[in-house]
Amino acid sequence: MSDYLTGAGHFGFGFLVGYIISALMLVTMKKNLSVRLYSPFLPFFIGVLASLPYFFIDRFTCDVPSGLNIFLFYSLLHCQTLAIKFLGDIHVVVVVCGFLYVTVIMYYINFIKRVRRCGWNRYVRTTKQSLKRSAPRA
Amino acid sequence: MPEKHFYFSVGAVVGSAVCAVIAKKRHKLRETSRFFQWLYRREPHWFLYCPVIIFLVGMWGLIPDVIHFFGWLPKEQTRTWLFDIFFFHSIFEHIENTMPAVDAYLNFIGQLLLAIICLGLMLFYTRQVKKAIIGFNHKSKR
Repeated sequence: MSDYLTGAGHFGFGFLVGYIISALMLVTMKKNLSVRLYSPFLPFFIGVLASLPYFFIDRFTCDVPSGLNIFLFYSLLHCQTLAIKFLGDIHVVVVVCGFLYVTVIMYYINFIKRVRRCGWNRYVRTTKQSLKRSAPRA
Repeated sequence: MPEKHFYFSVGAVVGSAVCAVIAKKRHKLRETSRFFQWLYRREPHWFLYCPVIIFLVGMWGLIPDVIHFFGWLPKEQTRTWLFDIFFFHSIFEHIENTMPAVDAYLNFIGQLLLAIICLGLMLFYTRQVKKAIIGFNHKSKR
């Protein structure tokens, strides 16, 4: 394992953060079709953003400009021991990102099936109905 | 050696091509092939699971590495001509030994191909969602 976080590690961290944001968006904004369609792309974009400086600056040093923290805490993470411990191994990153990608694909498959059966906002309507049903009667 | 992701990405490209051919011919095959008729009866949405082929064909390229990992065969044997059936494994290994610059390019191409396939697959699914919405709207108007 190297003394610094590799590009794959930065990408993995960004992918994780993007996945969490995407999942939160899917829960809180499920009425918005664009969110439901395109938010699963977020982990990729944030992952690429997090690993972008890796391709342009000297990767072997821990002396990274603090301005690069705008790329998802790049300079903070680059030599952080805990981050290197968990994301330093490329195989771990591949397994984690692969697993999360499979969940994204399964989400799409289930979504398409549901849309074919009962339209895209059916789930929202049923939730409202079930909420009404479960509300205490006066 | 060209990294493992390169072999996987070559397999994934082949798998994507297989998926594309199936996508084009699936309606014709439904009329002619009993297997496809059975598949449609069993799971009408079977085509959504078709990208599993991409993964499986990609894994085909990783078989020599798996053999290595478990220590079933030494490196000298997995670099014989026979292992070219795993997406030209021994040819690429030879390139690694003789042309390191080309090896670096191959790794980069592998990353690029994987990114294109991953995002392309997601775009395919978003297109399917849009089609399903249009189809459902037509169905409910009738």
